[in-house]
Amino acid sequence: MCWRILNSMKKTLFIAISISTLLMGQISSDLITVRDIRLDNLKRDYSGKAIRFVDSKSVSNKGILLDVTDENIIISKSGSPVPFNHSKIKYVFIDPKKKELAMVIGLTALGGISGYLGVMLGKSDANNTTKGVTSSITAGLAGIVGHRAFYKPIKIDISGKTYD
Amino acid sequence: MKTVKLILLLMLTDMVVAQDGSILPGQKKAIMTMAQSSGYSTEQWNSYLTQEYGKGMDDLSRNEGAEIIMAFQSGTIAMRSTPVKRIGLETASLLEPGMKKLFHFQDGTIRNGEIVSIEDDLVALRTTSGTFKIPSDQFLSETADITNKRGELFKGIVLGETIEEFIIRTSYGDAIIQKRDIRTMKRFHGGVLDKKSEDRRKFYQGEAQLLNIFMDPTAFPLIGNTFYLSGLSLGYGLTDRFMLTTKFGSNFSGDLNLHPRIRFYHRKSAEKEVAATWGFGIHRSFNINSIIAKYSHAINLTDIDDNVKTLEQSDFDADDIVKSSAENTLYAETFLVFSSRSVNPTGRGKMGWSAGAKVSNAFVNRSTWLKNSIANPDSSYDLSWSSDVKYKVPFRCWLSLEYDLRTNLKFVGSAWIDNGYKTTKLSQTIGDYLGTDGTPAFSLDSPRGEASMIDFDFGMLYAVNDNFRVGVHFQQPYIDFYWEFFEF
Repeated sequence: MCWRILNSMKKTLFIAISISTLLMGQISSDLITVRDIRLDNLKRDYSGKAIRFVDSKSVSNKGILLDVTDENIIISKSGSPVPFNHSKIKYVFIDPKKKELAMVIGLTALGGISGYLGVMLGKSDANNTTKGVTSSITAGLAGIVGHRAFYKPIKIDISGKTYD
Repeated sequence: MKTVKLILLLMLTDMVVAQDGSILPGQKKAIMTMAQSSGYSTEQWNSYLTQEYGKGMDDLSRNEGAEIIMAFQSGTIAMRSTPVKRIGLETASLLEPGMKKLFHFQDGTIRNGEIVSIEDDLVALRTTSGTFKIPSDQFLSETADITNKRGELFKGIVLGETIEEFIIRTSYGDAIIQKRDIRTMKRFHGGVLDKKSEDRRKFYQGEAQLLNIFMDPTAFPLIGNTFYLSGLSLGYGLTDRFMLTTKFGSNFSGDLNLHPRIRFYHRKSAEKEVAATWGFGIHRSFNINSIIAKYSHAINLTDIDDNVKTLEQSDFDADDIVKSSAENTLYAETFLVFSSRSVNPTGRGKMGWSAGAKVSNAFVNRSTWLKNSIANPDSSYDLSWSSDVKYKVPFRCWLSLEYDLRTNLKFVGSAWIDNGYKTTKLSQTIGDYLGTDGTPAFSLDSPRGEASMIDFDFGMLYAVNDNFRVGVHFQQPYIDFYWEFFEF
């Protein structure tokens, strides 16, 4: 008897939480026109480029952006166009590629060279070990900074959110 | 005796009764003056009297009049707190649950919060101080007139504001305006111009977008069709990724020069902008003396006892040691720079860094420029370039930082490794710039100064207006100033 009451309470609680969540989800300042503008911008700026997004089923999808219609984002997956309803997609990501990797490598090299030259100017009698260690450290630091700056996905907001 | 007492009693009674007769005209006048100066209108004052005494002004007694005067004088009747309601202020025509920002109200107050719900024109606003239920007609409208850098003008209700953009509802639809594209903005609350058009505590980015930090370039070139003039150079942004500058001081002395800069990598998101740029400079007739002066600490003077000192430590000038046959040279330099700018987590503008390296051909043929020896009354010296490995190639590496303090004030700093850097005093720098030290004017190429190959500098840059910037720091050139003219 007690179990039945407990189960019934659990169900009621579950339903109440679900409804509250649904209602809370409705509280937003999303504007359809703003969303439309952002979708237009996405189509204009990123058509033909590889994008990634999480769809309404929480599945991550990746492909070349072909088109953005009133209802769908169409991407090319394995050579064939696949539409995804964008009503529940808030963000689209552009992942870093070889160019971004090249930037990181360039900055790492710059860091290493700077460290080496710094030791050379600052300590004329520095041995090779000192030079090697210093340039490795500065290269490593520059690499970390470069990775954080250049090798991050771009997050594109396609929601109708008007306030941060 | 009884009669006398009776008369005295009657007089006393009359006096007492007479004291509480009708209010005197002088009392009325005084009360009305004090009431008005305390902010009461005639109607409000009558209403006050009715509430407090149950009668009008003319029905008050002298005692009551005296009591009121004393109450005014002692402050018991306080200044009337007139409602601050600003008549005629426009109310917000658009309020939606989920709006989260600074709201301005009819009574002049401002609250930062989020609209939780709207029921029967009663808005529930959640703030950190609690949740308030406020009639919707108390919310002021928020409108803006925005002109972007292309000359387009937008007028409408501010629907929203993100880190990067303004969303405006105009008469012809909604517009999203990138903050970086805004040239001027007027913001209105309740139809009244807000002189602090942008929240001082939070702003998208400072007004000055730096091409250089001190003398070192950043990876962000001039935007297209923008003209730039500084104390040392002038330049033009041909496109958003390609610009040209020239050092006009050298041009006037016959050394025509051009410094193109191209941004070959650029990526931008709402919160971050990164770029990589390379550039080069070419001078058709670079003054050899400038090179000698810059690297005077790399030129050795060896006397007959094999004692070595540098040109910098001697009393000789660059002119003294250069062969008369040596001609000005073709000079070239190239640099690579990476830059990043990101939104400050505090919401106050942006902060960024640039890291770069520069090399030049300044040492090509350098051995042919120097005389073999030089003498003064004390001794004679053999001249030679230092064979130290650190003087094999002229180079400079730098790391620069920028940080928006306010929309019009930026902190800038830089550290560098440069085998040709010399620190000079302010007076020397001024002489160098004006050309009073014998070097070309409007350029920094003084033979003076003290070699300081690893060094740093910091200072402030102030945007006086949309076009003019001025900066102060603690190494040469000490003062920076430049103008930028958009859509030139």
